[in-house]
Amino acid sequence: MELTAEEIVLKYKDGRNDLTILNELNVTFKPGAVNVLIGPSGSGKSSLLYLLSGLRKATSGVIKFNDILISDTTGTEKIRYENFGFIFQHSFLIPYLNVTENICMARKDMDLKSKAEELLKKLKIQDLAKKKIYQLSGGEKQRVAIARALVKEPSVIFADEPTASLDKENAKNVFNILRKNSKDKIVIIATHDTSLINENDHVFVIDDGKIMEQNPDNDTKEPLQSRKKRKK
Amino acid sequence: MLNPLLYYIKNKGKGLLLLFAIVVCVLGVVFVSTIILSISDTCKPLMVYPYENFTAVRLLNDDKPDAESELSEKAALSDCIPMKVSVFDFKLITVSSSSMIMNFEDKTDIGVIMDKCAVQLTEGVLPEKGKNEIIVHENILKNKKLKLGDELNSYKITGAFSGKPVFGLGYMDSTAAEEEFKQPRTYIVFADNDVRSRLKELSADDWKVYTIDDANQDLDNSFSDLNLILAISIIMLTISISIAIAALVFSQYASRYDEFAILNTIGYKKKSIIALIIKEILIISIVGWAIGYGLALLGIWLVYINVYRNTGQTMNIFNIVALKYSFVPLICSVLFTLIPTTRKICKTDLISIIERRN
Repeated sequence: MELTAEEIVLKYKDGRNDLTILNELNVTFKPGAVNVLIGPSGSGKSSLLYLLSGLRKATSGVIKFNDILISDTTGTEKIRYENFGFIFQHSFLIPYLNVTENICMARKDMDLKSKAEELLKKLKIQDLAKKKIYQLSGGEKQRVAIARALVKEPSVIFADEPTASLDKENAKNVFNILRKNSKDKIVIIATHDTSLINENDHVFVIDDGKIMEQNPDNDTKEPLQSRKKRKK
Repeated sequence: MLNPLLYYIKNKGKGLLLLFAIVVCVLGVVFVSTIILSISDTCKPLMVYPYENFTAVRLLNDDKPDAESELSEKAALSDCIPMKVSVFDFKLITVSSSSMIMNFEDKTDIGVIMDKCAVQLTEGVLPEKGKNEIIVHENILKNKKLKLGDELNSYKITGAFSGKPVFGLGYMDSTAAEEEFKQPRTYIVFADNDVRSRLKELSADDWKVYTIDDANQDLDNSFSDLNLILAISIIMLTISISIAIAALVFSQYASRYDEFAILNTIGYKKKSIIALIIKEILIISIVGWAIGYGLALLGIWLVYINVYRNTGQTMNIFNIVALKYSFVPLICSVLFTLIPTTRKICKTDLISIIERRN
């Protein structure tokens, strides 16, 4: 299972000028460990996440999930519905539904109630099953959002700044939950908080429109394009 | 896939508010239109139904010695029954109409007239020949608050009858009848369509022929303005309330954009989200219409049994025209809510909502 981006270019119109966010970016994500995208504000971490998940369309380039082309956003709802889970900084829980109902919204064509109950136990929020969203704390809401992302057993989990509005304790918990799920799933987290990263995570640095994988042994950066050329 | 009942089940307050607005609109339209249309419903038995069975022919020219022979060319004289007509007012809720009393000469058998007009005696006795006695439709007794033995237009009421046409019939005092029917001026003719057409050939200078078609035409003319005012009022009222409902619905859906955004993000197609909105609006509108219509019928029935029935007035509780009018608020509220709401969501980039909040 892999998610690949090839020669991705993303440009926006800024008045009369073209602003290049991502410049011929190449990267492959696989399960086994959490993949963390880091970089300064405006570097394109979230933009890359949105492109990889089919929520946005690149200016050029190809994005594939297991050889399924998703770089054209037309018709990616089915792939997202069946294969992708999402966690954002804001939980985006539906306010008039309770916790269990929110989790089960992940897929209405499946009966997810028992899986939802299981997940709530694993996330240690089983007491909240019937609670309304306004009754939850920020950390609890984020755990419900994680449960919603996990309940349909997606192949890929995209998390865009999932810990930005959480305290340190909750932030660490969220990262640990995602790490536990990265063994058999591709987990990609965009974050600016490097303190949450550990040595087992695959870290990708986005800077100046390019992506570079940070060597796990030390803090040297190695451009992905040059590493590919060396391997050849 | 997405349950269109879920939002309003979980947000009962919002649902009830919307439902209330639609119910009030439909109830108001049906109730008011039925009450107004009941004026015409009451006037029909007075002004039209008598002429379903006979045609009235009146000689305009006093100085016409060959009147009877001219009439006999068009219809058998045995079918032409001389009569004297007098009118009286019949009160309705808001206006007054009129009904007629037909008095006949002694040789006319009232029982035969009743058979031909398809009316049946329900109370009292038939009037006596040679006396100022009449029988009237039971609705006239209710409307005028009269009972048997009372007088109407100087005629003593001896009995009441039921049936479609609402009028009175009877005899006159012998002396008055002799004077009146020496040279009859007004006849009722029990005629089929052929005879009716022949009667219409009588000279308009000398004769006034009044058929069921003329009666219907007069009724339509009397109510054309009222019906037009009713239609315009209903449309204006409905549009005003529908705009208010649309504003309410629009604001309710505007507060749900986060929900639509996350649904689209996790894989629900925009089309299915729009379909959900359409179903929600349709369901609540149809339910509101049904409740409003049901309540209107109940209210109308209560008005009928407490007011109309006691005053001899007619009301079609289930009125086809009012039913058609009831669809105006339903259609308006659906269109006025659906069009801006779905248009807005079609134009909105739902993913940008996620991006902005992040």
